[in-house]
Amino acid sequence: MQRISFVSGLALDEREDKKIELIYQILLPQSSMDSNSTGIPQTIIVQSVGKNLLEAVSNVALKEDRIYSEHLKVFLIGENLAKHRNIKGLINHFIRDDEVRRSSYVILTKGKASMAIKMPVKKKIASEKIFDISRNEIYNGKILTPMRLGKASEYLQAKTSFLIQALRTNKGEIIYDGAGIIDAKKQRLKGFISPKDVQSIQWLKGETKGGVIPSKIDKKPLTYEILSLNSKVNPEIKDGRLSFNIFIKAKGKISEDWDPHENSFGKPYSHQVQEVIEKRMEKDMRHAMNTLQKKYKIDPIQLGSYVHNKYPNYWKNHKKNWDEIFSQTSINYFVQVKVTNFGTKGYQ
Amino acid sequence: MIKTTKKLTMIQTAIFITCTTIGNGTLVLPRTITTQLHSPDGWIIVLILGIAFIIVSLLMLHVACKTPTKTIFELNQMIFGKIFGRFLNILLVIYFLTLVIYQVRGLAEIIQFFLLSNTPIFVTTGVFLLVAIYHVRGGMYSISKVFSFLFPITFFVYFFLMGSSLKIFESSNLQPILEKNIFSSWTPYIDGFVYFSGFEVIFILIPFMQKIESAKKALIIGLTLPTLFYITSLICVIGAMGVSETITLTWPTISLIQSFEIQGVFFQRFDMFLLTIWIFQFFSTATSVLSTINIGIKTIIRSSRKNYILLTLFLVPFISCLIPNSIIAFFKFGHVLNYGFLFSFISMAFTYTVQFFLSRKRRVSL
Repeated sequence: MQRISFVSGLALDEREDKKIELIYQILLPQSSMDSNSTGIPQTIIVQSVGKNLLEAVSNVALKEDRIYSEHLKVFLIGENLAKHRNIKGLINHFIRDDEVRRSSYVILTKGKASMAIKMPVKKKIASEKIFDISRNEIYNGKILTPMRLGKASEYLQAKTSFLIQALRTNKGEIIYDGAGIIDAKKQRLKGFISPKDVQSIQWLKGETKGGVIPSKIDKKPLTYEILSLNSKVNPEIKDGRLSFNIFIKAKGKISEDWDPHENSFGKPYSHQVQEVIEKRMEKDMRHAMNTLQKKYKIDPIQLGSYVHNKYPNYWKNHKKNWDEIFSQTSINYFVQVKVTNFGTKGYQ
Repeated sequence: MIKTTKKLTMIQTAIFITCTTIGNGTLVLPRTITTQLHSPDGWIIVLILGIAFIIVSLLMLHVACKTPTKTIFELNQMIFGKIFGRFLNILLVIYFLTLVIYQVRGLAEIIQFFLLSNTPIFVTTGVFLLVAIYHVRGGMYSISKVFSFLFPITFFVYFFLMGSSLKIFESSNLQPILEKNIFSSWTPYIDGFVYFSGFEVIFILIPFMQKIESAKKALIIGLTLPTLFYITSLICVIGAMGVSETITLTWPTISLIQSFEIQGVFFQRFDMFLLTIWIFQFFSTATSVLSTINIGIKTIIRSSRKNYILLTLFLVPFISCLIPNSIIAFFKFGHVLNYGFLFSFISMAFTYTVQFFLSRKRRVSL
């Protein structure tokens, strides 16, 4: 066991001299003789540099035992590397290699990836913590469904743009912060969207698993917690013009209400609450789609696939300039919110 | 080795056929057919092929059951005479030999890449073949007993793994259905042939069955199960990974299992299971085909020098396996095998057609 290095996380960065830097987070086997063992696995950080990825990978052999990648859980790709280099080429080696799992997660970092992986974290090592936070989708809707390495490869291969979760480091903390748009044509990072926009997009695609919507009723705070959400995306072509109809059905509970006139036991109040939330969701989704359509002019949420399924002929003729068409499409939202529960207090 | 003269039941025959047919195919199938089609409709093609094979082979079986004590080899020599019949049998034996070589080579490739990268190929090939030959020596019944043990394991593990892969299944990857006309070219169908190769073993098994009447049921089950395996493999692989990605993968089914993890279970990485059951299947196919060759050679040369025959059965595949020296040569070989299977199938169909007309003539002239 001492002769093999288990990699738990790998950070990829671009240095100022345009070389690729790899930072491996390697687990050390815990010796039971160590009286200081606090239950946290010890790790060491190994760094390797090269002109291209495989040179950096092989340079690790110059300073470290054979790397065993079967437990590699997380790839962190630095912002500059993702913006300047072809991502498909970067992950090529890892896809070919049999040890690296296609199920490992890929995450973008704002700034340098090495900062995140070197971050000293109290209860777990950095790569495990990053991996585990991606599981918090039920608690917070601003987390994107984790991007598996295999899925990233599939999107890149099919030339479809997609989103990857992003994180930033701040004062010794790792925080999940929005998502990065990967442009399929250039196969590079195009830009970031905010966590709030990520949440709205998750609603739109029906992929959200939970999350909290703070809003205001009569100018007083009201918080709605999503328990389940279904969405249906329906493209429609009328007179040659494409538009999308998005139907959202959400079920959830009120977890906070400061309204002094609250009467959740009565129907009119519940309807009022539902309307407030529905308007809020629609407003947020419009904002998110505006960012994608007007600011970035790219479709990283695969709305094109709905068009492909429903109108295969139209798709065949128009898929080449799908991003331009996408920027001009109008989107109609039909949100239906249901309050199924309001906790143990329903009246003020 | 104690040789038993017990005969096979219907289930045992069905499993025998299934184990022979499912060989290399399921691991590679999603890529080869999808590459020809460029659409996710490969499963429809496999379905069509499966149904077609069942219908045609049932017709052949109908004739074969009229002479239930004869294997296809004996029938060839009976109908076409000693010289031409022997010649036909030799061609069939060569085809079966290439089938064994293909399976064994495939096994060696997979073991070398995924499991034991430092062991030389001739060691894995040699060990494998030696065990298979030893097994062949035991006779049909003992072979089918081992298959009846191995196959349920394969069945459950395979469908468990494919079921777990539904976690990453996206039905949009399979849509739109029938976007491209699947009848526009026949190359996808020809590429699909090799995956059904091996089921001809039923025509050797008939004399070994307890009840001849159940041969039809055995054949239907024996062809339906492989079709089911292949369709599941296609739907799960393409559903999870999409057409564009599947085309790029060398072993799509293994990559599929590597693409997800099942949380909360003791093992988290399941591709070892898939490789294990696949080694079972390679072994089954090779053993079954080797026993077929054994019977064929015995029919051709009518010798009871069984040890020499077995030695040849070992040496020829062993040496030939070492010849293709890259994985591309291996895949090209698989492509050629499509035509070999076509030949074998047509030749057997031809034999049975002639037999059909001959028996009618005999009845008429009585």
